Amino acid sequence: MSKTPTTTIPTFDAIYHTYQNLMFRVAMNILKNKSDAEDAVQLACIKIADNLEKLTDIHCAKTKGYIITITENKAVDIYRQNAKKNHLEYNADFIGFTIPCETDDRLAGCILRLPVLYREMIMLRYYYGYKMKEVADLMDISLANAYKTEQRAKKRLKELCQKEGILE
Amino acid sequence: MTKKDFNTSLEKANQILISHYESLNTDKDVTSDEQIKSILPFTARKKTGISRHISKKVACILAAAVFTGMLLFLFSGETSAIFFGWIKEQHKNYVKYISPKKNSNSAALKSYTVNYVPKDYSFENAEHDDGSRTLIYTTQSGDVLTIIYSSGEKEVEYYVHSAQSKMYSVSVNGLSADLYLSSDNQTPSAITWYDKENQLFFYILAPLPEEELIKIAENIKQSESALQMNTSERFLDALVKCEKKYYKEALSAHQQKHQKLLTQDTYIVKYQTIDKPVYTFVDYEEKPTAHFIVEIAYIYDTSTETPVKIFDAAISDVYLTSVQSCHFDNGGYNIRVEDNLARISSTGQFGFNDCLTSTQTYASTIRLQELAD
Repeated sequence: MSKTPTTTIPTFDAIYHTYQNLMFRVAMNILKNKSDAEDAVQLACIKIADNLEKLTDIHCAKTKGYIITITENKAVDIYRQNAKKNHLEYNADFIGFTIPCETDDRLAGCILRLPVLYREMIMLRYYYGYKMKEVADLMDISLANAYKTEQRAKKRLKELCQKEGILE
Repeated sequence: MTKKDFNTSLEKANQILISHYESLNTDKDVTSDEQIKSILPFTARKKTGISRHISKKVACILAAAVFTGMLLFLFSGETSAIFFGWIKEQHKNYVKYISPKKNSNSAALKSYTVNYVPKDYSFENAEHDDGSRTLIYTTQSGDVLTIIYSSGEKEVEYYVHSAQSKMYSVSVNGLSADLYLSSDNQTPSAITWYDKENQLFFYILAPLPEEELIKIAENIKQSESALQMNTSERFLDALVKCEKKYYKEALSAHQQKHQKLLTQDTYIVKYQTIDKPVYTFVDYEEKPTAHFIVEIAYIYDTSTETPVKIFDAAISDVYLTSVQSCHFDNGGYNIRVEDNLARISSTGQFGFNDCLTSTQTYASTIRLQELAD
């Protein structure tokens, strides 16, 4: 008997218990430290709880990607804070932040090769359709900073696309 | 490259992202599921669920409030002042303006236009909600000019970083204003003031000198049409009624001609008339394109204060796809009806899906026919 796919309206509990492991792995991949990863998951949970109404189906790829993006963002925040504390230079192109990808879709490849904050900005704005104010709230940055990040993200994406020959 | 291609690539990127992180399941460096369960917050709360999470949040907020209170006590003497319902809090490193949450003059927001920005700055984006408007202008070098005006209807706080700034009292069109001039390159300067008559709070933030900030501030004005007509709300009410009454009629009149275009993704924008193409949609990589039909179906006769249906109106097939929302923010209009002719001129800002905007000025003369009851 075939199962009919069902749509589950997400609750915070359901999201948390479905994705807690994935969220922790995302954070650990960036932070390499359990207690920092735990903090990142906690911060991400608060953001997700604040924006539950935006999610429609707990199991869809969009929800999963969104949860990854938010967790990644919070983990990068912590990484940057740690780097600052230890007087280390923050490198957005750090290997742990980039997603190794082999795809025929050259534009998707360019998006994934963006520095993590730029990729998150592009995904939140154009894939999830968030307003700039909402993105600024999610990323805990000022509106002006969000606009600046978006501008840089688009510029970098354009450069990558030109390099790939997608754009002239 | 089309918007569809871009969406497909975003979808693909999302899938790769998910696969990448899911594949970490077998990564030796990553902790096992059982270990994760013992580490993560909330895990022991399966029975109580979100309630504890919320109480923790409340506790955090209370703690933050107490901490903020202590900071206030420590760092600021007078700390707060109230002007026309807005609270101005002076902290050690920043000044906070808190909305009164009770004003409801958001209609006034629509009547203001920004008439001057320095020439290096070009319009980037605008965001509107019920209680405030934010306009962003940027330079090629990445400097950002932010202009916010707010009725304070919703709970909102605006911050000015004052640690690297000196505050001066200045005047903007006769209204007293706070000018924060930054002494370093990292912090933008700012100017804030309150328009008592229209109950609006204004906030400009940009890395600009005093003269430019004041010049921008003094050139944020109510549009003349709004001042003259003072009928904007009545106008909009009439528009809504008119839309209800004539929407179907207007739709069916053009349905045959534009049957293919009248899809679910098609929107009809009223109050526009076009003699010549006025839309110049930008390249895909800058802003997503969208297509829609523009037609003028009726206008508001200001002499009789009644909606007048327009026949033989100019129709423009501006074909857009995937429009989720579209708005026409009329920066100022002037409609004169004499005999059977209407002269309409308007400067407007158009936004689609909250990311495509363009400002256009256009004018046209059209033939009118009064509506029969």
